[in-house]
Amino acid sequence: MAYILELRDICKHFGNVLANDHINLKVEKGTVHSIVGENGAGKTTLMNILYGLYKQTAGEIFVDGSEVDIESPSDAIDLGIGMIHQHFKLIPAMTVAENVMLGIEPTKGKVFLDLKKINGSTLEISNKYGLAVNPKSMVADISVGIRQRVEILKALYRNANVLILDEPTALLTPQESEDLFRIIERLKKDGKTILFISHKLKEIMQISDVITVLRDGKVVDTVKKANTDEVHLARLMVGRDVFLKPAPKTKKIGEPILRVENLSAVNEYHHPVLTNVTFDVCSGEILGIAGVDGNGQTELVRALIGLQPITQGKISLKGTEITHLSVKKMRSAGIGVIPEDRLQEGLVEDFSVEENLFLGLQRNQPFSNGNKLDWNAVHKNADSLVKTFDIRTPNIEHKAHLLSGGNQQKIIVAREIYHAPDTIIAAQPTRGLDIAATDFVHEQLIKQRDSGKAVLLLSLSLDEIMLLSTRIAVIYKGTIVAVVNKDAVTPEDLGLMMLGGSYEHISA
Amino acid sequence: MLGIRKFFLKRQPVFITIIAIVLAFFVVGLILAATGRNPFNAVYYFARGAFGNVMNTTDTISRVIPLTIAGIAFLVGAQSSVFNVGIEGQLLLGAMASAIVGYIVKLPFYLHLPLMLLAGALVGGLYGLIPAWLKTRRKVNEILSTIMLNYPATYLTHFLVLKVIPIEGVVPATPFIEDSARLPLLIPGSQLHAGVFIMILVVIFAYYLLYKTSLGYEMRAVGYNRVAARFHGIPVEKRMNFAFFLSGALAGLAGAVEVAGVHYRFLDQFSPGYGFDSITVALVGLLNPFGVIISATLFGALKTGILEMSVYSGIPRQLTTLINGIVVLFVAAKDILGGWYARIFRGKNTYEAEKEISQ
Amino acid sequence: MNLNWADALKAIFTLTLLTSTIRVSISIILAGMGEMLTERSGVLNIGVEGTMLMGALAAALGSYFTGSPWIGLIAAGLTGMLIGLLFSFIAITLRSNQSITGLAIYLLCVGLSGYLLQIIFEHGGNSPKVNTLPMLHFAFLEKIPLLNAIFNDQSAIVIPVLLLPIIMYVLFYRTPWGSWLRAAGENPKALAVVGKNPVRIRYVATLCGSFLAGIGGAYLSISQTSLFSENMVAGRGFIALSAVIFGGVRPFGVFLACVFFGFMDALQKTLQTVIPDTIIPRELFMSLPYLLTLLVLAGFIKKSGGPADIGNPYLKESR
Repeated sequence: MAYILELRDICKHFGNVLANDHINLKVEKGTVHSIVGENGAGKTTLMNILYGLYKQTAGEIFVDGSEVDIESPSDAIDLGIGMIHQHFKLIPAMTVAENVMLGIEPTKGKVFLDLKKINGSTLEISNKYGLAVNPKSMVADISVGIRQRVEILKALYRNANVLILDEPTALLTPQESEDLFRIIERLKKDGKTILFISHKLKEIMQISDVITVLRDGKVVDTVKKANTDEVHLARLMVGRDVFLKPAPKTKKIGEPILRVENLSAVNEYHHPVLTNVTFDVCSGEILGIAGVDGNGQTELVRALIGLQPITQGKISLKGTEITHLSVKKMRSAGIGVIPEDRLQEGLVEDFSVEENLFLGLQRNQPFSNGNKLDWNAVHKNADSLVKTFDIRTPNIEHKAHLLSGGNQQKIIVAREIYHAPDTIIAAQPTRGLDIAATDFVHEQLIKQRDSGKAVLLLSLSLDEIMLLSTRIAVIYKGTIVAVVNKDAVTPEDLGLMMLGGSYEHISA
Repeated sequence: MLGIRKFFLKRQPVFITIIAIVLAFFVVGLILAATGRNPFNAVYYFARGAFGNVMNTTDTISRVIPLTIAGIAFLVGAQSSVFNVGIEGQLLLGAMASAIVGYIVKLPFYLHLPLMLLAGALVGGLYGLIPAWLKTRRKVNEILSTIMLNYPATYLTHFLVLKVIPIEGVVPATPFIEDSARLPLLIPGSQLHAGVFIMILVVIFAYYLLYKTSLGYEMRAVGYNRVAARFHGIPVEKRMNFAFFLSGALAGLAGAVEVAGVHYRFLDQFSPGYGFDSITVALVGLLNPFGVIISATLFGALKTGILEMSVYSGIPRQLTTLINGIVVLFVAAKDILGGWYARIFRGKNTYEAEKEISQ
Repeated sequence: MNLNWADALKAIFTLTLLTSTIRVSISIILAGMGEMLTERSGVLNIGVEGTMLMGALAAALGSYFTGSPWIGLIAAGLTGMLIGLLFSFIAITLRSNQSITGLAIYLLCVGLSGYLLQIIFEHGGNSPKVNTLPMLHFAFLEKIPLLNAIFNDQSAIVIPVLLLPIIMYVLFYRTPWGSWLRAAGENPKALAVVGKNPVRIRYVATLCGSFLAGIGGAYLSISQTSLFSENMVAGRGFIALSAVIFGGVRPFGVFLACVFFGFMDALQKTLQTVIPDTIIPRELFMSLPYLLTLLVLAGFIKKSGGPADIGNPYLKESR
């Protein structure tokens, strides 16, 4: 059986991070081959290599049995590989037909565009594959679902035989997703091969013929759909054998401090990003929110500090409602936030270490009387925090951008922990940190928990969630699907819930 | 060896600016040579012209005054990432307002002078709120809007001085301001006036505001990282609006000081491009208040020195604008200079050097 | 105030006004079309004024030293391209802030042109008179008043200039390069994934745009007048910039905006002779282009938006 696509021992390094580790993949022609895994598993990197946006550090690619060298998207297109990116590469100000033909427009006499042919060929190919579009519509005017069809047509027009769909349902409504699956079936019948990248169990089970599971950059297994089910897949994607080290048990849990009730929000396109989110965090506990990236975590944190407009719901701190306060007031109310994006949100890189160590507190005692800064207090605070948290810097006047990622995070952690009276929200607190720094952050969070604070932890790493949390909540598509005690659940159960699988069999 | 590297790396911004200036002057020297003029000659006459005798030195200082105040005006905006290229217009409007207040009322000295300076600052500040609104509410790029706004401002003052306000004498100008609105001369017969003290006050004010107050901290946070500032509860738009206002007000003040100290009236086209020079002065001064004084001295000296130089060595006075342009060009490309600078001093193993610095 | 408005209006709105409008608009149209081309590719070049100034100087020099204004014209275009190259290198390749770079180029050109003028001609202010481009005169057009006003007694380049908007329109919307140009300005990544290079397109657009700006400046020194004087562009570059915004970065829109601003200029000159300045000051007319542009920028006057990606440096995805 000839494979239309084969990847042998593909490796990709980014610096000293190994994103793809000896990936082996054999794709049969005319199948829907899904590549699944959690965030950071290496799926997108692999696809980018296949499409010529990255170059593999090692390994070979074979198309139709012959070894090939893919140096750029043009090469990939020439080999019949087309990619439909998660974030569409379309020009809203141009028509559907113009977008489909971009770069290879048919001309009259090599100079003028053959408009008739542009529209005609687009219509032709759209009919051929049953992808109804109006060639003359402006892309700006059409829905997301139709835009995706245009992307597919783009690839088909360039004679793609292998279509890579990267998280195609991420931006679609359920109805549009169904339409997409119908299109995929049709394409299969026409002899096309589909590489389907996803982390959503239900659709993987619905659409795939073969499924390859990636984890931590490696291939875990490749299975035929008939031989697997949601639970099995979840276990493959997320399966854990060994924890890093046992965490100290929770000492005493007190009253709920942070209470979130029925929180809902929409984004700028009026799509819901949070739906009836309800949970509370008690003093002395760590509530870990587990979920795959893009399921509402970012929006939740932003809503909790006052940066995300809310359509309904209530947020209260120690009984007092803080839902519609300004950012400043919400922070003053007693919440410390370790933000997801260390450099963009957590620090001012061009400020010195000591200046960063009181960011957000520049109007409070002891740093200021409201208007005038007391630099002595600033120095003292900085010296003390640098010592306590072991922040490696030659001096406190050093500019923050010169520090390593771990030390930068220490600044943020030190600042937020030290000055937050009762609640800490930690969003991806150990992202991009090495083991020593990660351990440090974990230690700090546990310490804060034990001192009676309420800690809300959001993380993409199931390991981290399982390690630190007292209770665990799973967020999927903007809703909290379950809140369970850490001891009552396995990683596979969590994986199942995070990936949208059915979980009725798990007791809460 | 590593010690020397660290020394240079730590002071990267200073050294890069010095390199930018040196490169700029080098290029200027090349242009001079290429057009048949002697660059070294130029330097000699320039130095003589700027500081050769007391008269020249006071002349230099009298130019340093508006350059410093206007430079601080730009600096204050830039520290909050507000690039006010409309200083020229705000300066003219401020000068006009102060000239009018100066001649229209009769008040005792201790009221009149502050009032006319205040009028200038206020008008400049208010004019600066227009691009502020455009930026914070309509996302209009302020470099574009402030440049555009220079023109109506220039035309308005031109119109006022030529057609509305009665002219005494031949030159297009407003009537002379009352004695009570004038800044006294420090050295009789020279150009040096008490505006020097205002200049020093402005510098100290800027330093104090930016580095000793919570407000200044917030403005700088907004300038360096708007997202983080917002994340920590700093009202970004409010701070930017304030930066626009303050920048315009200082520009207006610079104009008012020129009226009160040098011309004693609004003289049509009295500004030899202080507005654009202020940008160069501020950038070369590394956006630091004290750096601005040093850089203003350099450029002030350039202006007086050039006069002497053009008379004696046949080098056109347009050289200043040329130098201006080249310096801004190099400073604009500073980020890239920064990249090369870092590569030279960090050597091949960036990671090692970085570790060294942070440990 | 004794003013017969009927007489005044009759005196103003004659065909002569049309002639002067066209004459005055030519340099703005050239610079405007050039800047439109540049902006369509996603590059904002506010140094147009400087480019025009250097073009004016180059044209005067070319005409002075060779006696032929056509050589001057070519010199101006090439000079424009050179300035455009400098700008492109810093703004596109080095990815510096486009506005600051444009500002620097403007300052540089103002200084350099004044300096060179002084050096070459040994006295400031103006160059000596130079040969100018020939004027058109078609006897047969005298019979058709409207066409007579537009084409007769105008510079020779009036015909290609008036054809520019049509050429640009065809280029933008009827050729493949036009599609790629627009794509580069809207979403360069979309262009990259189909194998075209947005950086190259932006370079070409900026160079061509600067070429036209240089010619626009040349018109001032070897046609509208017959010498180069310091700072003679006098804000026309910024007016052209305004026209591009006001015209929505589209060929006919920008063309009309340029003509409109030129009309304002011609109108205020005509008005001066008829309506005393105290009723409608000419400074108001001179400010109008800028005020109108600000209104457009502020969104009070709805114009179709320009390219989505304008002003953003393009960063190729890392390998």
